[in-house]
Amino acid sequence: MPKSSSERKRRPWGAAFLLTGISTALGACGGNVLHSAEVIYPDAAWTAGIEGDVVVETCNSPPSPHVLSGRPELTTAALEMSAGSWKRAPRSEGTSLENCRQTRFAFRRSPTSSEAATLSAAQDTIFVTRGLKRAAVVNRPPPRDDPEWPLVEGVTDADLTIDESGHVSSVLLIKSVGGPKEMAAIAAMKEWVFVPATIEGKPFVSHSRLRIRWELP
Amino acid sequence: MTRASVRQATPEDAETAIAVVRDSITRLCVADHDNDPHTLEPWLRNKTTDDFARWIESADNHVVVAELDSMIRGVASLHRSGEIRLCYVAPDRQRVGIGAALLLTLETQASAWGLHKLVLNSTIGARSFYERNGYTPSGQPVPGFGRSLCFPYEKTILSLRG
Repeated sequence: MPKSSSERKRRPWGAAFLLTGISTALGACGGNVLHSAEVIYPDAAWTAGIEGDVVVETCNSPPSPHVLSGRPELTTAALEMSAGSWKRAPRSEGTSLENCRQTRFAFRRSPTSSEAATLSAAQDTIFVTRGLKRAAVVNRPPPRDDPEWPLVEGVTDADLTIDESGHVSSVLLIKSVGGPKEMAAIAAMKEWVFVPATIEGKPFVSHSRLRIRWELP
Repeated sequence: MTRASVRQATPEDAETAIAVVRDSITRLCVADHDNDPHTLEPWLRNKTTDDFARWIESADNHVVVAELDSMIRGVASLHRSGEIRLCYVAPDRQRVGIGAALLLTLETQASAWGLHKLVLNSTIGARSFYERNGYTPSGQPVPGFGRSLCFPYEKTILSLRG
C-alpha cells in the first residue's frame, strides 16, 4: 500500500530530488519553478552502492505505473515515486493514445557535478541521490509588458540552465508561441536568481523546465 | 483556423523534417533552381536525415519544427552566430502562418541568446515573405548553389528586458 506523504517524510533515508519534467504553470507572467518532494533511495541499496536507472511507464487512465526496466532493488522506490509524478509533470496534451509517459529514475550514489548537471537536463528523468536540493528561485523580476503587443494563446516551455552562483546562464526554447510577450517573458527569466541546486551542500549547474500557459482573456 | 505550434526538433523528427525541407526546395524554389540538376543536386546534397540529426545535436544550433494537424509542416534553424540557416514550409501548407510562426520562435531564441541582429540569405521566392516579417535587404546578392542567388537580409532584435 502506498505510504502517505507524512509517513514518507519520517523516513530517515528520504532525500530531495530534482524533477526535470515540466511544471504546471500558474499564470501567463513568468511560470513557476519545479516541484520538490521527498524521494526514496532504498537504504539497503544505497549502502550496498547500488545505482542505476529504472524506467517506469505511467498511463493516465487508469493510473497504473509499471516498471519497464531496471534493477529490482530500486523498482519499489521508483514505483512509489511515480505514483505522484503523473500529476506533477504532464508531458503531453495530446490524444488518449499519447497519455502514457515513460519516466527514468536515475539513482546515483556519488554523482560528479558534471553527471548531476547532465541528469538534471535530461528530459523525462528524475535524478535521485542523497543530499540533493533543487534550485529554488529567490528573485523573479516580472516581464515587461505592453498593451500594444498582440495577445497569444498556447504554451511556452523553456529549459533554464542555472549556474553554481544561482544565475540563469542560458534559456532554451522547447516549445514556443512566438511574439513579443513570449520574448519579454524569456528575457525576464534570464534575470531570475536562484539558490543553486546542491548535492551535500556543493552547488552544481542544473536545469529547470518551466512552462508558461498563455490564455486569451 | 488552427495555428501551427512550434517546438524544438528531436532526433525522431529527422526523417519527416528533412523530407519537408527537400520537398520545399524542390517544389517551391523553382524560380531559383529552375529544375537545373547542377543547382538542385548540390542544394539537396546536405539535406539528409543524418545531416538533420547532426544539426540538432549541435548546441550552436536551435532547430525547430512547426506542426499543423499533428504533422510537421515547417522546419527552421538558427545558428548561435545569429544566422537563420533554414526556414522551409511544406508546399501544400503555404500562407497559413507557418513560416511566420517559425521566424517568431527563432527571434525569441535569438533574444534569449543575447543576440541583437539576425541575418539570413533568402531565395528569390522568399524575399517578400521576409520583408513582410520585418527583414530588410542588407547587401548585394551572392552566388548560391549552382546558378541560384542568395539575397542577404537582416533584422534587429528588440531588447525586451524587464
